[in-house]
Amino acid sequence: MDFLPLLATAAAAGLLQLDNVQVLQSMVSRPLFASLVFGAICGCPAEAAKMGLLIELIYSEYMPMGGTLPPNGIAASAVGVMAFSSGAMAPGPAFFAGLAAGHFYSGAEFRLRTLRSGWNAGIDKALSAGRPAFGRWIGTSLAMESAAVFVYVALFAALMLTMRTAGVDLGPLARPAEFAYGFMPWLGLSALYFRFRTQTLK
Amino acid sequence: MMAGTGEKKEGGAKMDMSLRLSMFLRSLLVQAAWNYQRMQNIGFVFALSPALRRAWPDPEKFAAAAARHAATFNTQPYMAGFILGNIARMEERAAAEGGGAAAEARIMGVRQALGSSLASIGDRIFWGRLRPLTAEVCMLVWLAAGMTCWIVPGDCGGVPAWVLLSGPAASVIFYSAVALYMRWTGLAVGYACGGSSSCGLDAFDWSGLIKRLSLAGLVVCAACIAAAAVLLLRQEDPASSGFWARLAVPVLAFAAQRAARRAGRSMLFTVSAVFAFSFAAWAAAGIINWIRGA
Repeated sequence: MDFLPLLATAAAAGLLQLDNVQVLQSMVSRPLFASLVFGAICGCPAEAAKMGLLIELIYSEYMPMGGTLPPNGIAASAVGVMAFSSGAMAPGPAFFAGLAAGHFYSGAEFRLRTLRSGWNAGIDKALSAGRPAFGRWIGTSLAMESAAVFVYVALFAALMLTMRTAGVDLGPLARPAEFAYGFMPWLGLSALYFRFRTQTLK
Repeated sequence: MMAGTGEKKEGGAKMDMSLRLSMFLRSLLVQAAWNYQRMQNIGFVFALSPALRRAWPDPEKFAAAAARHAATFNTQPYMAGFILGNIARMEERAAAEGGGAAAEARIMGVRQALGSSLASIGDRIFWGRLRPLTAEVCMLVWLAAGMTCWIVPGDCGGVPAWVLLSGPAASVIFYSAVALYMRWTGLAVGYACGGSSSCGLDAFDWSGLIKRLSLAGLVVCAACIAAAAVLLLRQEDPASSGFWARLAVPVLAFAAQRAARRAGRSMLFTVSAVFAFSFAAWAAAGIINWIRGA
């Protein structure tokens, strides 16, 4: 697979990240839909759609309440789809690589949010000077979030290509990972069932 | 569903359409610069700015009002409209009455009280129920369209593009329609009952809605599980060992999930445990084969 589709996937991930927290928050940034977009770019929409649903089911358990940082579904789907489409991994290991990537992105998001806390002093200063420019702060924030996901996913893309070029064989790990992957739809469905059952009986 | 008590209480003041549209579009960015120190403050002032400019045309007074609202604020993003509408009306009134410390304190009190109350409602509706429901909508649509490779082991190739798109597209439409409706309606409801600290809390039968969504989630989930189980087991003859091996997968998954929940473990812990168990089982099988071979 060429570098271009992987780069396009990273760019699409950067764009979709804006919907994830910053703008609108529709479902287009959820793994369910985003995976399909990445799959269409990488030429494996069907496997990507399946992977997206499974990531969605697993990540549905995490709610972004009160400033908590759930795993990032965009990074998870982008990395999972790229790992599979680049030929670096079978669907099972690719799925787990995606889950791990989504989980570890929380560290980057934490740093971005902490960085923005420092802006408040500047905003207070601009307001006392009578020159509030909220649009500029918001624009900068959007650009930073988008760029962070783009860079994060692009790094994984480079890693996949390096693995493929170096001929890294994950064969021995692939079969148990595929076996575990077979459990994921049922783990996701059972999580949904227990969640809604608890809510209904409460 | 809509109780509408808020509107009646305050005489149903109507928000100007251009102001409503401007605040609605800006409210889509309420989380844009979320930070740990003051949370949604930047997005909130940005969304409220059109109303503040109208209420306080004098740049100095506008800056003072904006500075007040640049303080800590946090709520569920889809519910922000209720608070924005309410505060817009309160600022208008405060400006008409000449402002003052008492009016400012009242505005900030209502803003803070409603922020946390509506966040609790919104979190339960959107994050806790509607979002998982959208995944169920996708599964149902896919099952109805014959896309079963997500549950039945096998290749996903050959599924038509429209089928692949139908599930996620139905989810996006279902979820976004509710979210956008809430944002748009919230502004008008909030403005109509502006000044009330219970504004928006009695606009809908929230607890009834939460209960209905939970029940809908459970029913749809049960339907998906039943359909998936039938599809999975139909692949094998019930007399064969393959049938029992396939049946073992959902049974083990449910048992693992139940055990993890009872132990208070997270979903990622359960996934990791299944992953580790698979590797251990594979390693054990390899060792047994090696011993037999030797």
